[in-house]
Amino acid sequence: MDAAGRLLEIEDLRVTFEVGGARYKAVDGVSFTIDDGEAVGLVGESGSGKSVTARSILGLTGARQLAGGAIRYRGTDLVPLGEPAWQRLRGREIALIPQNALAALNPLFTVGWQIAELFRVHEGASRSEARRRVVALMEQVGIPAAAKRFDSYPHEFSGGMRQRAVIAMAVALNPKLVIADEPTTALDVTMEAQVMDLLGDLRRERQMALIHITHDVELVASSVDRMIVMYAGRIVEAGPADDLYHLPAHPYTRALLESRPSLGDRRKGLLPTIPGAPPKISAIPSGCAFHPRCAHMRERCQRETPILRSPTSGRVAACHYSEEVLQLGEVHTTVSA
Amino acid sequence: MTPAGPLLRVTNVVKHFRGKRSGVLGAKHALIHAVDDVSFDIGAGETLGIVGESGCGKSTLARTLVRLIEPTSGQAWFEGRDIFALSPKEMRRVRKDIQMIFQDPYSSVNPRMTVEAIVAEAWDGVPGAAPKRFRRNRVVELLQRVGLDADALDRYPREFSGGQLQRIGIARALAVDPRLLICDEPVSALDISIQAQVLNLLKQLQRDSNLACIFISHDLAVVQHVTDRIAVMYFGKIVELGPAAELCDNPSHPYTQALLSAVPVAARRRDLEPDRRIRLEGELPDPSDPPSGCRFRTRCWKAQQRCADEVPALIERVQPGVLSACHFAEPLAQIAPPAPTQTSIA
Repeated sequence: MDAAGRLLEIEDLRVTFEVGGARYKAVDGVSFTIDDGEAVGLVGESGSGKSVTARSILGLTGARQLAGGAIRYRGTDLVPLGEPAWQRLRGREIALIPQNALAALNPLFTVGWQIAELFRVHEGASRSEARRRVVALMEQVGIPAAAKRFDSYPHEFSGGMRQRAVIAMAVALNPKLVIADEPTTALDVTMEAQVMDLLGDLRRERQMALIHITHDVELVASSVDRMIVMYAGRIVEAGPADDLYHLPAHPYTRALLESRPSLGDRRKGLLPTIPGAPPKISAIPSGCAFHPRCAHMRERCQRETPILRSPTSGRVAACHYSEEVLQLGEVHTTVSA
Repeated sequence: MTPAGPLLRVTNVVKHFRGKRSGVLGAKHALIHAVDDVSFDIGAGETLGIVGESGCGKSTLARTLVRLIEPTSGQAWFEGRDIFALSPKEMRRVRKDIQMIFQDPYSSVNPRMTVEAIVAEAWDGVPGAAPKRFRRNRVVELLQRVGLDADALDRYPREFSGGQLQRIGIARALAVDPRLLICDEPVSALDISIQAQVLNLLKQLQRDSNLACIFISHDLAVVQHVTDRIAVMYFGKIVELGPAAELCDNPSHPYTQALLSAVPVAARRRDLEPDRRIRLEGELPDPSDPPSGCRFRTRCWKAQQRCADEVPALIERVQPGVLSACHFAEPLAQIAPPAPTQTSIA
């Protein structure tokens, strides 16, 4: 893609947290780009730094935490410009769909009023004009009887409806980039499927780029163009979603995929597992952070931190032995419906 | 399955909760039908999965079986005795045989107790439990059985990860040699890389100790992997019940079909056209005012007048051995997919 289509460029992002006098790295040198209209899955377990990365893009990590790196939106680095620049972008250019819709909505105002506020404040719409647009938007995101539900309070909405309401708020001003932070984690499977379909439809209709943050590779693999896998504050693998899902180049990605039971799999034996637990940011292992849990670990992995390199075309992985991992072959056999 | 009959036979269990007050001075209570006429068997050493979405009554059902919640009516025959009719003293004896592990490992252990005390507490009030002086050694054995070292004994819950705490919860449940283990969403709160460890542990325990298990989860892929049979619940009722593989390969109830279709499986992308997927519309109905007849009819694309008039019985309909509560049950291959759905809902 040419430079004109480049929406966002994160370069060497570093975020640290201070706990009890010591500084810990939550995000340690993360770089990636998002093009116009592109959907990217940012995958990781708890403590991987995925949500902190997303918050940084929205300018929600404080200056003290932001230890380095550039966040360029349409070529302009937002970091030196600070809060005023982010304020101009938030909502209008970059919007967030939070995980906990109930916490994101103000319980004291009606849902309709809260969405309408966006049109009134950002676009100077009149009350009646704002109301008309909100009802249309609520209908578009699948809230039934929108004209009536406009005057309902958040607690009167079900979990699925609240998630639709915060999605409506996020897309209200036609942002170019939506960051969805675990948007379906609190929902049941059938609701999750509905919300995933809705996000896909909105993205196509409005030509928005999407960063979908999740712990569930399976969930995003079929809905995004590219996936970025994070572990202990770093990117361990990135590439086209389909390729990465079927033939991962990093042992962590592969182990994550293998340890999930899949519906079509009739083997009733034990699942392949990853020993141990994801590290705390206060105790990130030396060398490759994944080495204590890795089946392919050699002595080199304990001392030398692997850099992201391209073991196969279109893919980057941070593993000294990616070629060996690729040779293990496809992870998933095709499942019949 | 044992020829001597099931380990646990649950018949016609009903649990109603009193809901919001209404009427003059709040004289009327809406009745919430959480579990409605549920029956099933579990053989010794068998694992039954209970699958459903939040609000379907699966956790309420599990809790009635250990009488953390008192059922409204029904029976649960455990080794020939009705659990629901036992006195508190008799119930204490049965609790030893039926243990439970919970979804949230952090809130199911006391943060101010050491691991040894947490596990050993299981023996309090249990007749014939290990004498005090042997207990420390017994706890070490149990910890080793769930994959933890003896040095965990004197440590506190905050020093452990979620997966390790879940192991401690399992050790506590195993301390009294139960015959039935009820697991309520045991891996949902864990990181993906930890889920498989705990699932494997549960599997090994079942295999080694002929432990029967009720495994409750919203995650069909997980349930299918660890269970022999699956009961699918919707809105307080079992809608389909059968062997795990048959039920997942060839579901006949529209709700089971929709649940399977909603499971994100990236590999399916190529074989399953989007318009072949079943997308349920709407959400669960108001629990204080359940639909007449079949409770699923308000979201079902096959619903007809009969579904409103007549409650479908849970009987064998399509495959031998698989019970389905749908008047129009049919194999997945034969169903006409619903018209391509919009994301908007009715």
